[in-house]
Amino acid sequence: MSTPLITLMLQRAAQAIEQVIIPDLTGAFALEEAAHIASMLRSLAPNVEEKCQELREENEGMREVLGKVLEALHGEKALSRNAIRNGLIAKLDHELKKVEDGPPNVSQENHDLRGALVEAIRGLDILREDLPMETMSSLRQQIRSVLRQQLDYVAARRQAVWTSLVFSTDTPE
Amino acid sequence: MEKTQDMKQRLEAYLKSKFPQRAGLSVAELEWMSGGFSYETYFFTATWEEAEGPVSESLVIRMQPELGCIPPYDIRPQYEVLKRVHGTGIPVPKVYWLETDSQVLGHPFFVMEKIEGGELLYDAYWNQPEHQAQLTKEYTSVLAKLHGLDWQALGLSFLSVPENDRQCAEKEIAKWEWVVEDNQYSPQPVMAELFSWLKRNVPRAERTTLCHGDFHVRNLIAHDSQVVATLDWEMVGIGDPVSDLGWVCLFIRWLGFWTEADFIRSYEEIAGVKVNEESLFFWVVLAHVKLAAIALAGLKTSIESKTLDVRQIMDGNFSYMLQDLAAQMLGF
Repeated sequence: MSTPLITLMLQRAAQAIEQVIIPDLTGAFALEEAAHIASMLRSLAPNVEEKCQELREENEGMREVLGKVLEALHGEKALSRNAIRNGLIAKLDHELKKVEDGPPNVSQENHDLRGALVEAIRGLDILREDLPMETMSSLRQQIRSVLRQQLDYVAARRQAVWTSLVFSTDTPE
Repeated sequence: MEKTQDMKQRLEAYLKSKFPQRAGLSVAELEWMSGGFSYETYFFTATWEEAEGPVSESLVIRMQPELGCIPPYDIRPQYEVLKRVHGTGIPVPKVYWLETDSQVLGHPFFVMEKIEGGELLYDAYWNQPEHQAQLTKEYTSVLAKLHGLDWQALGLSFLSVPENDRQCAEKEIAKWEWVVEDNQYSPQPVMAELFSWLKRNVPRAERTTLCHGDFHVRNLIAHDSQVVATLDWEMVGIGDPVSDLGWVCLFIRWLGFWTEADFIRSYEEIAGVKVNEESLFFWVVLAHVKLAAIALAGLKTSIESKTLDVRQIMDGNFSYMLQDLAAQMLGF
């Protein structure tokens, strides 16, 4: 899988401290402090996302909705010879079983579930003429509610970043 | 600094061989104006001796980028469009020549006149409150005129021309879906759902015109209350003119200047057309998706190019913000 974004951001921040900020520092204490911060960021980078509760909740939401898509597809016996439907069932089955077996970490699981959700959205698009309108509409609504949850988490994280930036520039003289 | 120093020497040697009759030709004030992940712009001054004395000319180089986030890059269409649009009433810089030999400066480029004076229309709008009404009218007027050009008569059929009235939108969807596919750092289910909606709601283009593709207020230069130049033609194409309107609406929402309703009303008056509301809604959603895709591409390029500017990695957040806004437009 690709490295989680937050891990990359922390690694880049550490690199920027080491290669951009530290060479311009002159004080011994400032140098030592900066080196420690860079080192701390490097050690946090691979772990931080795995400990994120939001990510676990996001994964839970995706597992649930993918389970419902799977159930709906299994229920469409008339489509039993439809290659798209069967391919999607196999893909979702694989992803959800992998999760039951215990994934290596939350980030990996998140990455894989997102991939499965993309497949589900695309697969349902292709099958939209073949599935009952009610089923389609209900699945789409549930998928969108999971996507909204993801967007809200990202928005909250973005808000946290901006708040920290605002406070950091708002230091009283 | 090193990059421009090396380029100055190469440019000087190139100009001397291109214009051997210009005695003592030298290059000064070479400045890299924009860089990163799109076409690069440099300003420079060329000076040489004439019988009457020294002559100086301020020029601009527009060059294919070293690290592009949405390849493949081809500088030629921009040059050809600018050459043909110049003199039609659309304010554009005059282009002088195109150099396709990558050996000269590293990548193909063209040279054009430098527009002296003026400021970005966005800055002019805020800096000159007394001219705001005229500036917005000018802005709309340039766009309406651009959409009114006879692109076939101007010889612009070399741009990719849609084969039918649905293809304008379909081609754009396909292009930006490919950009996301090619640049996602992790799977993007929100984008998948947005593309799904776009594909199910493709509008029919009522007109097929020349479209700028990036007609926002930071790509125009204004002097007093007049627009004197329209820049950054890298996304130019033949398509549905409502696509340009959708892009403008995105920036009106984002930058908080003017209002969407006033812009559309003004465009309808000047262009003498009625803008289809459903079509506009589609193109505003697509504008969000397009910019979100560009931001994802910027993020990936920033990671892969090993840049140490950590601000660029925040493009990922910007993309999600745009995805969020588009999702809200679609009710989720």
